[in-house]
Amino acid sequence: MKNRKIILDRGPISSQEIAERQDFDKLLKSFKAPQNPYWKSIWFWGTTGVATLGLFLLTKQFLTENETLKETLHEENITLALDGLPQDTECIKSPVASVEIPFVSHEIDPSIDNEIILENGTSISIKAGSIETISSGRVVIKTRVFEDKTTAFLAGVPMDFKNSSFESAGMIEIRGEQEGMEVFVRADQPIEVDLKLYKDYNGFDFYALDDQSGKWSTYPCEFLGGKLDEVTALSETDKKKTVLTNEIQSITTQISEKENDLLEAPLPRKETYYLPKNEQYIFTLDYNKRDFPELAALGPINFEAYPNQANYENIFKKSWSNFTIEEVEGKYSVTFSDKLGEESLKVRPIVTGIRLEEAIQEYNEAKQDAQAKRDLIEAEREQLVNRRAEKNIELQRYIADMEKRFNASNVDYLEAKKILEAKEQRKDRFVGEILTAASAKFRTTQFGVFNCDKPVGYPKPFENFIRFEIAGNVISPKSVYVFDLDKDVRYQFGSLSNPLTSFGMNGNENVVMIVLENNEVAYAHTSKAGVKQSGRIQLNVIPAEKVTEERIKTILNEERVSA
Amino acid sequence: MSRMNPIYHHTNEKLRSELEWIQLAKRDPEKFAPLYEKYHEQIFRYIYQRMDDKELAFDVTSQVFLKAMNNLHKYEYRGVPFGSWLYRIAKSELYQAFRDRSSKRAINIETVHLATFMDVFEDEENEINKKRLLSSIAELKEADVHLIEMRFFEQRPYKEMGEILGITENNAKVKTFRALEKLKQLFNQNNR
Repeated sequence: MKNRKIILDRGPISSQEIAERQDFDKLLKSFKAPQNPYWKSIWFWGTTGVATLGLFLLTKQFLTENETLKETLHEENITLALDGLPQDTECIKSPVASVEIPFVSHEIDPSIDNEIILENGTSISIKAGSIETISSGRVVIKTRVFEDKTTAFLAGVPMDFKNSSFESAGMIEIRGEQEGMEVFVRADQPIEVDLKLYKDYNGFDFYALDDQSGKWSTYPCEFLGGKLDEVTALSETDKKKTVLTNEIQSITTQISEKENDLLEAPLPRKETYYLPKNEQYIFTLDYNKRDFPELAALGPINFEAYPNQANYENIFKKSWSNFTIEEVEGKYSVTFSDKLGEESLKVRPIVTGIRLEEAIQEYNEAKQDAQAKRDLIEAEREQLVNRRAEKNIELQRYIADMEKRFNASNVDYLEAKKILEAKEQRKDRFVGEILTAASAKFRTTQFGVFNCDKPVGYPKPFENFIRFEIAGNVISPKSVYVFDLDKDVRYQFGSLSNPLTSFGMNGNENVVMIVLENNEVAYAHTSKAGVKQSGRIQLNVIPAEKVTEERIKTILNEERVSA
Repeated sequence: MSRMNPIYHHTNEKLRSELEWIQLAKRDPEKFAPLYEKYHEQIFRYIYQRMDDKELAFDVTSQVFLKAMNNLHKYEYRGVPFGSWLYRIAKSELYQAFRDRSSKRAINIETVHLATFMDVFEDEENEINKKRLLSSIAELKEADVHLIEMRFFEQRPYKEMGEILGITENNAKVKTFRALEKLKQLFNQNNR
């Protein structure tokens, strides 16, 4: 046991009490400003400055002499690297010329307020006069939403950021056109976009693509809702409610069982031990013991009449000339008779004398045993009743909590729950997440591509050269794409920053893809270990006419499962 | 209307405004006040969760903020809330307090939290198991207790745990899972 103290259910401390103990002035008095470090002092810079100046003058001469040579070398290096690049150098251009990811067009009147709602729930609000138009005619807003690796790849959206590749949680391209000409957003009247995300945005940031340079830079946005989190949290609370309800039901069943046990463990009855219950109804009968050997076996006995027999008093006020005893299924009745008639009484035998004392002792012992057994069952039952009460309180608290959450939430939870359940059954991420996903809300004065992303580092290069083979023939691709299906990223090798010599892959399920010159696509499902061992990747080829968005989706495991 | 999720996410705007406060406070300590006010309760609760003595917890909290102010010039923004830096100071001050003042490490538990473990361990919630569980928690290593406390008693999301511990969200998840496994193991051992 460690030196720790366990405290159970310590009372809560209120925020007010904590706030009352805030004392910034006292803190400020105790604060000591840090002294300036030595490198901020005058003497240090004085000495260092003189020394640096001397060193600078000495080296300048040397550097000037070498500059010309260095520039020449640098130029050659760039030319060499550019030779290895793919032909398409436009910022957004499909790597497979024959496949295009189409835009969805929305025609608007730019002189009035417009709100465009896209299929995935994304909304674009364009206020009147926000578009710098060419004429007074209608404007076409073109959008492409990228919710998977396939569409982003086939659209040719670059996904590299610094030395990493982007994993996207939601990406949109928005363009404006009027009379076939590109139009722009006015600098003083931004449009507002509420981009629905298809993944939890935690750990992600927001970026915009510079169409000119093809580089991404961070872009301000407000992440909203976190509805997926919210629905999941609500769902967890809901599940807990179900668990509690089931527990309460189970406890109720157990209580019923205990009650049955009590019924099946009754206290002993005096009748069983032939003990008297009502002294005033006891009388003696001189019966023939040979006719009733079972009564004779009890020893000396009396009879006790069962109470509440109306004729009892009358019977014993009178003298009878005869009586008979009858036994039916262990129960006795005595019929008194004379010439005038007869009266019957229900009776039971009771022991007397020494047998009475023995019977009392036996009865008491049995009663004690039975009582102990019943006490135990009662205690267990009470424990269950208390537990059920506690669970009920817990359940009420959860219900109150749920109501609070429902009220605070903007999620139609019941609707979302149905979808979540359907999603679990169908593995259909799209339907559910459109309703439950968070969104990235941003204002912009530029059309372009906007992306909620998380940079994922490039994999470590293979130590040895990797051969790419089609039908046993080695090919020399200019560009190779690696799709990490687990990390949900696309790496591109064959660029300046990531040349083919740096080719590598993560230890997950990967798809290697190469676009051949005639728009054929070669691909291979492969693993890092397999490639490392064999030193080669054997690719299958899809003929150009069969390269479609659906086919690529199948390869990248991104097929939508229909309902 | 959508709303922000204050627990899981600090918007860039929030982080930016916090960074502005920090930069102002670096120049003028009096400008540290909004940061103090923002994080005082959080840090106090973190400390008091692990201490028995309320007054001492307030003292340690003051010590945390004093240390933060004295070291603010060393603070570097790393894209996470300022609070994560404060929590790390708080952890260090807390253990210092245990060493210096012979204060005992306390683990504060609510009965309602124990039910969660019983659910996880698929065991019955009764007095015997409650005692077994408390004794098992007391036997855990400090790092594991810290994880269990943060996740189950303080209900912190893994992202925040990661930020406080200076590890990734995923790593926080894995470590917590392992701590829970160890707890389960001790719980089962205590049955014998």
